[in-house]
Amino acid sequence: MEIIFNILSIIFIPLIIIGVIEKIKSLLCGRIGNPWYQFLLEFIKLMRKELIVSKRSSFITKIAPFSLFLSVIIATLFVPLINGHPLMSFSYDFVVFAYFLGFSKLLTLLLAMDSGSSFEGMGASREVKFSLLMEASLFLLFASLILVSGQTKLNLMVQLYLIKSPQTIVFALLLIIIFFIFMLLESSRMPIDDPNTHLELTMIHEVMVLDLSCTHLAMMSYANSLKLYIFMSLIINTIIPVSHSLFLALLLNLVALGVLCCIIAVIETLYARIRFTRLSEIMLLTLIGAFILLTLILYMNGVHP
Amino acid sequence: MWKSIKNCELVNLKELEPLLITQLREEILDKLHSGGRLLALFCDRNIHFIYCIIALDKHSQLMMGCAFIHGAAEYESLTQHFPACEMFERELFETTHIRPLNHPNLKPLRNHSNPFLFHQVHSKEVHEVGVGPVHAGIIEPGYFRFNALGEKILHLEIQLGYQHKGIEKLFEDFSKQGRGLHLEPLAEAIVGDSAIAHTLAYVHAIESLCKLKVPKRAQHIRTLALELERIGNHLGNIGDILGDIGYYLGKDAFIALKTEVINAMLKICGSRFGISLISVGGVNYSLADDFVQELAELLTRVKHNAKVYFKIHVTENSSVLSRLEGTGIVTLQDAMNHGFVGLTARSCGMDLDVRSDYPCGVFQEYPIKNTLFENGDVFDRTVIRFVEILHSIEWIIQDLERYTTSESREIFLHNSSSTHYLANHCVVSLVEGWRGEIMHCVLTDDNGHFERYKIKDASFNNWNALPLAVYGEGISDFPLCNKSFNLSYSGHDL
Repeated sequence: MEIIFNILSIIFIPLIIIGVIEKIKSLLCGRIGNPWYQFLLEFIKLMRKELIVSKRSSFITKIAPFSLFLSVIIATLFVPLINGHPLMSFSYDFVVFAYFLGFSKLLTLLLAMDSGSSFEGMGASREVKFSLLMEASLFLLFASLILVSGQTKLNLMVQLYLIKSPQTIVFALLLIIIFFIFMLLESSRMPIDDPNTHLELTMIHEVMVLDLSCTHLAMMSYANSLKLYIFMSLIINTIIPVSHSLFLALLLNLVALGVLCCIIAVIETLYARIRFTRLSEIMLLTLIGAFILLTLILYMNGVHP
Repeated sequence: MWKSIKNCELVNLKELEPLLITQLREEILDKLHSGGRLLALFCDRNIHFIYCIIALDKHSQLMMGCAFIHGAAEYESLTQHFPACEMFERELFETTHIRPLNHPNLKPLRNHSNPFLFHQVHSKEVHEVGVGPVHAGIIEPGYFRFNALGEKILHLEIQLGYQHKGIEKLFEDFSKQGRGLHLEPLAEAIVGDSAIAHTLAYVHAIESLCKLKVPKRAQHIRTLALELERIGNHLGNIGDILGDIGYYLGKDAFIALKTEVINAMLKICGSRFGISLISVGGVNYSLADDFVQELAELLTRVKHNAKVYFKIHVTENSSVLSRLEGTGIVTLQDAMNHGFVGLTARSCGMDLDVRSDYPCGVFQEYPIKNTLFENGDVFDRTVIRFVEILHSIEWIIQDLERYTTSESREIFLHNSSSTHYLANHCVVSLVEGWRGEIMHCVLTDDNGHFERYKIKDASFNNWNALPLAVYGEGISDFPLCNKSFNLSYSGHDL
């Protein structure tokens, strides 16, 4: 049963989650805003448009959006979704997870460089700069999770609620904060990147897809939204225990998703975008957080310097 | 011979004895050395004379000079001594082909038939980014070329002229076709968001030329409209600045306030931008007594809300402050050297405000408070807008009382005897629009038609502020710096 729900959630949740966040943001700003299913409408609109590919671009532009989409889907297979069940799982699968995400990023960069536009090259250089810092902290994080849980499968690693010790709260908090920053970066949300801006010079992710249209753009935005869902699920499964009743699990998952959407919307509403030159400080913060986590866990496990 | 005049004062062109170009140049340099500011440098349509207007702000005096061209093809440029003359000399060169020698940056200003050679930095590390001329969003066209070292801007060059519509020539042609006195629709189209300020400059000039005396009540309504336009645009600008840093909560709050203010204008004249309100000889719409009360209440509410919003969304919001403070600094020295005007100049400490320097109409009797800031960064340009909003609202509320107690209820001069412009005269009219100083200068020919209609919007002076402000800034802060000036493309391109 969980498999069916997992597949359904991979298909549908990314299509509505962005719209829900935007709707909450609008309401918080005192506007009526677009309907909550706006993203879905835009997705359908994009799928029906005519495909335009720049004459200057190579075969990369033709294959990259779909390969990218697929690699994010493959990464999603290892993520615990509803009731902590991933679609696929084996020992050390987190490496596959991380590098399929990384591969999707590589494809985005190639895609951006392929168009030969000065904007997109700029976007690619920005994306690389932050991803570089992210990779290091992601693996430090995985290392500490393995130490604390004794598991090597991604879905079991993140289940921090299983560990019955008061220090777990500290771990969980740090972990959630770091995952949260990853989530904002990977799905290009505020205050790291502004998905609503029309100013090309300030964009990080959006500037790399300026030359795409139709299904290519639809795939890119779907993949972006799916990344948001991946990190949301990771956060949710850190706190919410596996339950025996599937109905209860579904309900809890949806409520948790709603709460996360609200948190994202509130943060996006209350904060202006961080000054670009200070963004690397935020990414370094995740690295430091991951170091602290690892040090704490090593200390608890009896490794004393 | 130089002629010393006041704002909207008539000059008989026959009394203006032309000099030689070299003499004129020397005298301009003298005047600029002693604290003058170049206001206009232009030629008549037949390219016989060069006219020069210099503002002596401390004395509230305008100096007008004139020189024969006599087939002269070149002169030593003023820009090499005073960078503030750069745009004026480029404009003069483009229209008359009289070459300013040793001009450091003699590139086309509006005419795209000549190639515009951008500065290039020859280095493997430096990359060029071109933005425009068509931009995302609904804004006017203009091309920006960056030389950037990674994320840092080394150099920015701006190529404008895409909005050129020959509006000066349109004024002259309509006048020569004898289409009467009323060219307000043209004046309203110079800069769409400063429709009132430009129309005011136009009607002031025409009324001087026809020696019309406008009823007191009309003057009150005009000035009130000018300040309403300032309030509306400043509120909108603060909102847009917040929108550019992704703070949509603050943006929506200020845009909502702006809408209330421009809707008040809608109730006055049926247009939110004040189109068709002002006319030569007066105003077309009066304020009903109950509306005066309503407007005062509205403005009191706007003032209160603006204070609350500004506190919550700007001065007490650390994430907003961290973006605005210290970004896009224009120093006082740069501002003086390059001759910036309006709120750009006031935000870095230059005391320039036509409303107090060259008061006209109601401002002569009831001056408005002037504000100066020192740092010249985006934050100061935001705060100065806010302070000017407060001052304008206070002034309007006081003026509404004077309006209701005034005896004469006439708002339009119906029995205007003179319908022709004085022949061979010139008038310079200055108005402080919300961006800054707006100048209209009219020269009439022997038949009393417009021989030359010269317009200078504040944007013409201030476009050079943007490259200075973004120099060394991150390229991602450029849109914010740009929005903090919010200059008009149309006002520059004419």
